[in-house]
Amino acid sequence: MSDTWPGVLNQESDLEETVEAVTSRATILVVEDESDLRNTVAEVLQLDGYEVETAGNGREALDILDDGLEPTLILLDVMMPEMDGRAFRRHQLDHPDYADIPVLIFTSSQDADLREFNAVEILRKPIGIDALLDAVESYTGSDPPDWS
Amino acid sequence: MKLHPEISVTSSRDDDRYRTPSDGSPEIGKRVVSEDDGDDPFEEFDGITTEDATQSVERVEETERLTESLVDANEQLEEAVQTRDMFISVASHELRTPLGAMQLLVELLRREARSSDQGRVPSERILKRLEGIDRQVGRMSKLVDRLLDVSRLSEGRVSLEMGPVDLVGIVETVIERQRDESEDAVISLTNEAGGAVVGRWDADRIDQVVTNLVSNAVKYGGGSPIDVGIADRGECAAFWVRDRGEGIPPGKQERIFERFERGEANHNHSGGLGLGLWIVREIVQAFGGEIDVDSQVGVGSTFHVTLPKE
Repeated sequence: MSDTWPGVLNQESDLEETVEAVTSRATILVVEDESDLRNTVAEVLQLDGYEVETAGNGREALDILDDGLEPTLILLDVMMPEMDGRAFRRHQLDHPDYADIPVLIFTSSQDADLREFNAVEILRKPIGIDALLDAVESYTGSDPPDWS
Repeated sequence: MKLHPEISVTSSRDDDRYRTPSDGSPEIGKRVVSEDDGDDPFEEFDGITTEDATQSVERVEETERLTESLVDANEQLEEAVQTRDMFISVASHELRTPLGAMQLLVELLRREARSSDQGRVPSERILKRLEGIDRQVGRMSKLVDRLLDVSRLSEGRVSLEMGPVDLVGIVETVIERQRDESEDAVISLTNEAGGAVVGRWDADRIDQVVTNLVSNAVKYGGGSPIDVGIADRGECAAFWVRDRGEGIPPGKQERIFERFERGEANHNHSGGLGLGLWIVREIVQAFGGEIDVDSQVGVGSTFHVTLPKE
């Protein structure tokens, strides 16, 4: 993975290819109650070409799904107000249309385990950009856009 | 019967046990002579065995004493370690979120700087990242301050700087500050005393108590108005903070004052260590005062504090 941002480099010359590549990548739903972290994660993913929707808790995330968003992957915090990650996961698994959307747990807890959440992977905070993007990429099946 | 000099050397000097006088060591040779030169062989024999026996008994007794004190020390350590573990786990858990945001922001900045073709990253974007980092640093500093506070309170190491303090002045200052921090907050103050309510307290600690209660009310008040009241009850001063939030179920009302309560059991609220109300109660009790809560689910909560003036 490149450690530079193609979106910044060669902004003018590669603009068309960039836009094309960006629109071809997957949609990620980021569910995290801490706004600074949520926004930063969203920005990192967007800069890497993903479409991103954000929710501040499980309830908001369900509302977004009910509104018809079909994310390729959900990045889910555990401790959140109103509806936490566990409750969201139960609702999601109960819903035939949402149950198959893979979930990456994003937590500061050391105890969360995969089986409990029936998730594809557990990412522990703090996490670097490379690890975050690697994980997201491996569950969205989309190669990063070719920035060269 | 006389013991071979080697044995007497062995019994008194363990580190020499494999040496013999014949190995040519002048030190050992000398000592053997000195232990061997008594006139009465029996006295020496008795002396040596008594000494040996006494030493053995003493050693056993000392070992027992040591074992006992080690067991005690170990129990104390285990308790201390449990508290520390709890502390570390809650603290690290809470520090991870701001750390997570900070790490991403720093890496973003680095990548943008690398990708930047000589200053192509707009300065507004750099400033935005730096402001984000700044906020995380602020959050972490607050967490660390609070942890240190708990550590001091737990060990009873809080020194109170007592002096004449006007409760009304402090409450007014706290409310102003809270209004600045959360612009949407509607906070009204009723002073039943009509004027100053003065007691001998530590102004900073009173500020901390009021701040904690008011900011909690804002956090859990669901955006509804918050009432703060002050009253003069003769020997005591009283104040209360009322929110119209979701309220606290009866079974939980006492537990909210316990340490780590939030961090441990409450997954429904974000942020914080679950230490705020514990700190508040510790401080109030340090002044000889009391705190309790009236709460009804769906109606809201009122925290009452009474503080002796002297």
